[in-house]
Amino acid sequence: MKSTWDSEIRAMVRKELQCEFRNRSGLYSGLLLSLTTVFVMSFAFYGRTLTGEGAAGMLWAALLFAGVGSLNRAFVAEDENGTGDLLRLWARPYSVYWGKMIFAFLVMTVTAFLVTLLFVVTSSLDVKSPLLLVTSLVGGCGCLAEIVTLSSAIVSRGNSRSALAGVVALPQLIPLVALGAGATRAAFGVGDLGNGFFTCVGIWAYTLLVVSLGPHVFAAIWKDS
Amino acid sequence: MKYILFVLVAVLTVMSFTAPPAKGFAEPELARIIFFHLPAAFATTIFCIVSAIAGLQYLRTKNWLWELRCHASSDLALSLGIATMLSGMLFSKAQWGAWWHWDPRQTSFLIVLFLLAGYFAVRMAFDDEQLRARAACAYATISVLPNFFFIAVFPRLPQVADKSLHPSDTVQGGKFSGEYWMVILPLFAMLLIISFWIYNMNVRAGLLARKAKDLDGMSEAGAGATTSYRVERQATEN
Amino acid sequence: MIACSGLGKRYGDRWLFRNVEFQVTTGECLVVVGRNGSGKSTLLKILAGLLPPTEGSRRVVGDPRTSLGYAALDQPVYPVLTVLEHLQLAADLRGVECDNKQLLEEVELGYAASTAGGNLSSGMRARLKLAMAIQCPVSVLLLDEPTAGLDATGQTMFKRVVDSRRATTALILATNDRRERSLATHEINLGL
Repeated sequence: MKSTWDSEIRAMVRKELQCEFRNRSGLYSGLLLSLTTVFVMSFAFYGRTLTGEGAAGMLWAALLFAGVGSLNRAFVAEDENGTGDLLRLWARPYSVYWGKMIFAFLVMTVTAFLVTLLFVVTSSLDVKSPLLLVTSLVGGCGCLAEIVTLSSAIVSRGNSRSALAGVVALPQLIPLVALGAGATRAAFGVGDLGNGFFTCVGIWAYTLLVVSLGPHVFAAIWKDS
Repeated sequence: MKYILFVLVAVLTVMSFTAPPAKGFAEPELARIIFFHLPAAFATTIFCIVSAIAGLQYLRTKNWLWELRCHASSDLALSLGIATMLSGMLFSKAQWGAWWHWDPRQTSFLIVLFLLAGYFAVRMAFDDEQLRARAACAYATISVLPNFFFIAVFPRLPQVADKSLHPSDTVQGGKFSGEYWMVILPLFAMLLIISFWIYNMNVRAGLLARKAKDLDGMSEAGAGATTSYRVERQATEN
Repeated sequence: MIACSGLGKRYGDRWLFRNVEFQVTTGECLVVVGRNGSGKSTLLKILAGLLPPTEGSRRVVGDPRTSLGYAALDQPVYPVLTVLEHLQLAADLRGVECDNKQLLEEVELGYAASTAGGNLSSGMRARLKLAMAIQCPVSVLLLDEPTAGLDATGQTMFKRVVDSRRATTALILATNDRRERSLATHEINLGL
């Protein structure tokens, strides 16, 4: 059998899915964490109508927590359990990276869309531009997945890695949250829609920059070749 | 070199007090804080970039010199960043009446400081020096993106720029008089010279520390550290 | 063939070893011995590319993913993946095709093919790790205390597996076990 990138990446994603679905705690806790964040923040809006501005901020804060909550699932858990060395022995760094990243993206996208749907329905929010909302969420999830995967890889062999992963990832995710909240606010009808799409381009540009740098940085730190 | 720098510092300090008060500020006399604040902010940005480039070079080459450069520049970026933040707070108190305003520019620069401090958190987490160097250099490399965002992009976003008290238009809008620039630019150049001098000393000190560590092992005679392990052929070969 | 030159590893200010140099070619067996904490496992990890050395370098002929097999006593496996899934994952990532069931029969673990890694005993885990190490026709086999945890039949199986590969493999063993040391053509002592 000839080794190809796609078969290796597929094998990595399959392994991640197998591990996740047989031990569902990670998926459940990520979803629960983001839902709890949304509903805890909604206490601030008792007796008041939730504005698009507030809703956008709450939604992205929830996604940020979901992303940070999933940090352990990427590489931290792998090195905590000692199984990271198996991947170092068998796989090329880029396959490992893209496999983990695609899996994180899938989890983040499912979480983001479920949370957004629940949020929009329960808060009776009027989505003025579903296209802007969806493109912002998809771009944002790509960026979240990328930063979470890379941050987790950087700290995975250090001490107190779980706490450190948050320290490394959070400040890097704030630009995304700032841009995401800006674009989503416009999707909820606050401010100029054109500005919203412009901010959405910013999300995708940040995502592309991180994606173009991430795999190479990962390959340099993952294994002693 | 040291004496030239000493004279330069003295001359520029005098110049910063003889420059006329800046117009358009609540307390024009106290606007002189920007003589230090602005060059420190520029220098922070420069050392952030140097740190990212050195980090990337270490990841590419695994040459220790780049790791030492990355560490020295991160050190200076954080020190200068703290100096920028403190002088900014002093300016804020003098001009706007409070040390902290949750101004978008102040807050975004605080996040830059967190990003810079993160480098040291990553370094402290590793016992193995190779793994530590890789992780810290990787962090320095990737954190240049959010740093750039918070320094250059975020304060200029239309929804942010309108709400900030920070006088961004003084530099870009050309509101400074020529005499102000005559002080700011030499001060910036001097700050860079002093910073790179410290940077260079840090790198050299790091190199010497590494050499000393290597020699330490050499002196552990009899402890196994200096032994050249010889492969011995077994008498009973299969 | 695997070779290293000037290899050294330091933790903090303490050198585990320095100036380790050797070359092991097909048909040879190097046994690394030394007291506990002398760096036997660390040396094998460096040779496998799992840890960076402080100084020196190591060289393996071919793509290490397929030409190098590694099994260690302290190497955990995925608790939720079955024995067969471990082998399938390794084959897919290495890009090789092999008869995993036949491989499991060779290490006498066929009966536990669908057992999850978390439910394996230490002896069964040692067999699985050996199977993963010899999955490809590797040219270098790095084994760190390979028979620890194996019962008498397991040790016989280990001897058979190693013997059948001696002619085509450069073998490096980290051990203080007298029976494993008897396989050596060369020996290196890291500890005093």
